Amino acid sequence: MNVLFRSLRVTIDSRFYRQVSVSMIRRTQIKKVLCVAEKNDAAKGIAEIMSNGSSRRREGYSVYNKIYEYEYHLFGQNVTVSMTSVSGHLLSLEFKAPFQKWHSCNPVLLFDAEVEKYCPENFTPIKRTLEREVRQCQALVIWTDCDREGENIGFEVIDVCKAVKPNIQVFRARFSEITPNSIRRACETLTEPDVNVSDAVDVRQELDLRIGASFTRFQTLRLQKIFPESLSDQLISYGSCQFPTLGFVVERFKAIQAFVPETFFKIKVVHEPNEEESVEFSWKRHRLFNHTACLVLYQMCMEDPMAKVISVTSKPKSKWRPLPLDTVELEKLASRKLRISAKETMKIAEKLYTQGFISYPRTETNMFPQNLNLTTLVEQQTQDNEWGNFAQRILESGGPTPRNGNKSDQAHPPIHPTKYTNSLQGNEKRLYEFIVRHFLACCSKDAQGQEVTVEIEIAEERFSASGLTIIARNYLEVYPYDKWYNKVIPLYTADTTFQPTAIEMVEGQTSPPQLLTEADLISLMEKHGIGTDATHADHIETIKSRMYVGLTADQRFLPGELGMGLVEGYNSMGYEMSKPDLRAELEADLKLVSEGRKDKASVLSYHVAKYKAVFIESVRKAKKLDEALSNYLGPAQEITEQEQGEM
Amino acid sequence: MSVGEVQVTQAWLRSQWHIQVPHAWLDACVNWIKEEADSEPVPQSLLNQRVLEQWLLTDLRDLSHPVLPERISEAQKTELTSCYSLQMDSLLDVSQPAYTQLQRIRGTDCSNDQVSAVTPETQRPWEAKPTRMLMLQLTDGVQSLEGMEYRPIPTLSTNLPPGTKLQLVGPIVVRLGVLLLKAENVKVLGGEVEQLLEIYSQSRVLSGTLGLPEENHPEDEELDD
Ligand SMILES: [Mg+2]
Repeated sequence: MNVLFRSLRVTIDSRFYRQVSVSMIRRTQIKKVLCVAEKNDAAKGIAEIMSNGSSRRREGYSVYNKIYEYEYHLFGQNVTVSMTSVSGHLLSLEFKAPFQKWHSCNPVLLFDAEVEKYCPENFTPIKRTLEREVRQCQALVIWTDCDREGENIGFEVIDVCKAVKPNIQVFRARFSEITPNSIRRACETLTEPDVNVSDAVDVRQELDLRIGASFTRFQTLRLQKIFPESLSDQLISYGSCQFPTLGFVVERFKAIQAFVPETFFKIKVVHEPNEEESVEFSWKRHRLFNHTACLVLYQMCMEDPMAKVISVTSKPKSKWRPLPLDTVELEKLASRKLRISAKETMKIAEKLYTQGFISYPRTETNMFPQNLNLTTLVEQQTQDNEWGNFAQRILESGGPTPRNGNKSDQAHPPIHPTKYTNSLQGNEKRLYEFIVRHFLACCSKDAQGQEVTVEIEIAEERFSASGLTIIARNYLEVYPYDKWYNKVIPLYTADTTFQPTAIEMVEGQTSPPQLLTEADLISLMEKHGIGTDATHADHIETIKSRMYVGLTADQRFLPGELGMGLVEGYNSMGYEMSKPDLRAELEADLKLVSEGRKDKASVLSYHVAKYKAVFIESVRKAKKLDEALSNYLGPAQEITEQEQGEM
Repeated sequence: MSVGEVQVTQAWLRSQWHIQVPHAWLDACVNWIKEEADSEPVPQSLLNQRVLEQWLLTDLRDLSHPVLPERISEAQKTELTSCYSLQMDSLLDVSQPAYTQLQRIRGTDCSNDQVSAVTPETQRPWEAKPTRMLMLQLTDGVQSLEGMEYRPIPTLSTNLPPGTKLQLVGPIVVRLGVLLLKAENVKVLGGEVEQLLEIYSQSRVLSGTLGLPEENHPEDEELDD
C-alpha cells in the first residue's frame, strides 16, 4: 500500500491525495480505534466534536493526558474510539551512552557517533498509556497537528504502537481547525501519514543534535577555561539557526556603529492663504548634501519669490485592506501592533486553536481556499458588540470579498476565526480580537480617498504638496491597527501665482538604521531562510535566554558582549557561521526531503560532512575566538598544551 | 621645426577647441612629437591631433596658464559668456549621502540594513530617487572653482576619471563662485591626469567628505604580508 500511494504524490490538493479506499480497510474488522492528538486540549476538543459532547473520560498513566471514549461511525461502521494525546514529541534523539557525558569524547566525534531515539522519563507514562490502549485496537488514527513536527510526532506514536502491536492499521487525519466541519471531513478522508515530511524532521533533529552538541561542548569547555571570571558557569550554546539569528542582530548593531551622519540642506516653502489654512510644499530635489549648492538655489528663490502653480492633479487613492494572515505576518503584526512577542503570540495562538477559536496558526498560506465558506465565518462575528455591525454590513453589501495573496502551503488556510467568543481575557482576548478584525478587514473593501497634488515653481525650482480626502474608510473602521488621515490643503488653480508666506533653508542630519525589532528580525530570518515560520520565535527566544542579546527599553535587540564576541570570533575565522548561507542551504534541502525530492540519508551525510569540516577548522583557529572575546571579557587566560588537548 | 606649424596648431586649438596653451609648452610638445616620430614627416592634421591628445593628459596646473576671468570664484553673481576648456579634478554627487555611496563602492552596502518590518510610507517618486546633482571641482590650472549640475547633464558621470577635460560653453550663471551648469553648457573632451587618478578617486573623495581614513588599497595589503 505504501508504495502504491507514494507514487501518486504530485497532485495539487495534497490534503486528499492519499485517501484510503474503504474497500481496503474492510479486510480486517475494525471495532476499536485509538486516536492520538498532539496535546490533551486538542484531544479533548476533537473528542467533544466527534462525540457531540457525550464522551466518557478515563485516566491514563499520565495525569496530563486523559482518554476520551465514545462511539463513532468510521470506515462505514460503528466503532469505539479512544482519543488520547501525547505532549508534543514523545521521543528524543540522543547520543548513545559512551558519548553522552561532556568529557566523554573529543567533540569532533559527535559528528559520527551513534545516536538513538528514546523516550525521556517524564514521557514514559504517556508511552505506557499508548501501549496499553493500542493492544485492544485494530486501527490507529494520528490526529497530531498537520505540520512537519506533527507528522514526525505521528511517526513516534506509530513506532511505539507498532512495537506492541505490529499489525495495527495506521491512518492520518488531516485538518486545519478543530471545528465540526473540519473534523468530520478529516474522518471521512483519512489518509496515510507522510513519511517524507517526517523524514525531514528526523534529518533536522539529527543535524541539530550533532552540530549543536559538538560546537556547544567545544566552545563552552574552551571559553570557560579561558575566561573563568566571566564565563565559568555559563553554557555557551551553538545552534545553526541561533547563530545566524544572532548574526543579524550583531550586523545591525555594527552598521549603526559604523554609520557616519551627514548634514543636508533643503528649501521649505510655506503658504498660509488665510488664517485657517496652511500648507508646506516640499522640494522636488528633496535635499542636498552641500551647503553652497543649496544656498545658491535658495538665494535665487528669495530674489524672485513669486510662486507659479504649474499643475493641480487629483486622482483616486486607495489604502489596501490587509492580506489573509499567515504565521509570519501574525508574528510580525502582533509584535508591532499589540506588543506581544512572537513566542508569546504563538503560544496564545496555539491555545486559541486547540480551543477551536481559530484555525491552525502555523501556515504559510495567504489566500483563502475556494471551499472555505467565508460567509458563515463572518456571520459568526455579527453578534459582537464592537465589530458585529461591521460584520453585518459585509454580509449586507455583497458578502465577503477577500483580498488574496499568492502563497499557499497546500496544507492549511490562512489564520482566521473559526468560532465566536467573548469569554477571553488579557492577551488571549487581544490576539483573538486582532485575528477577527484582520479577517473582517480582509473580507471587506479597501479604503478610498482622493489625493490632490499641487506642483509649483519658484525661480525654476519645483515644489509640491498634496492633500488627501478620505471618501470611504471601509476596512479601516474595523481595523484600528492601520491609520490614514485626511489632509486638507487650500484650493489652487493652475497657471495662477501667489506669494509664499515663507521660504526657508533648513538643515537636517542623516540618521543610522535603527536596532532590530522582533518583527524586523523575523523578516530577516524569513528573507534568508533561517528556520521555518514555525521555529522563528523559538530561535529568537534562545538567543535571548542565552544572554547573547538583550532588549532595549523600546523592545529592540541589542547584542550583548558575549554575543558580539562570538560572532566576531567566528567571522574572523573566515567561516561565515553567523551568516545565513550554511543554514539556508540546509533548510532548502529539508524542504526537498519533505517533498520526497531528495533522500534522507544523502542530505544527512552531506550536511554532516560540511559542518564537520567547519568544526575542524574552527577548532584549529580557536585562538581567534579567544581574541575576539577578550575585547569584551578582558584578557584571555593562558592554557597549557595539555589542557588544549583535553578539549 | 617651423614656426608656422606651431602657430597653425595653436590657432587650431583655439578656434576648434577653445584651448589656450603657453608657447613654451606648445613648442616643447611639438618637438617631442617630432622626436617620437623618428624623423618621419608629421602632417599638420596629425600634429594637431597629437598635441590635443597631450593636452588632454596634462595637468593644467603644469601649464600655469590662466584662462578664466580673475577672481571668478569669489563672484557673488555674474555670468560667463564665452567658452573655456578646463580640467575637472573630481566630482561628487551631493543629492545623496556620501556614506551610502561609499558603501556601494566598497561593496559593503548591506541590503539587510534596509530591511524593516514596517512597510515604508508611500514615497513620492522624487523622494525615492532624487535628481542627481554633481558638484564639480574645476581648474584652469591657476584658478579653482566649483560647478554644480543645476539641470541634469547626461554626459557627466562619477565614472569620469580625475583630470578629465571639459569645454564649458557660455552663457553660464555664476553665483557665490559656483557655475550653474546645464547640459548645453558642458562638452566632455576626455583625457585624464595620471597623478590625480588615485588622490581623486571616488572612494577617496567620499572618504574625505566623511572625514574617514581611506581604506588600504588591496595591493598595498599584499605587500604588507
Ligand atoms: Mg505542533
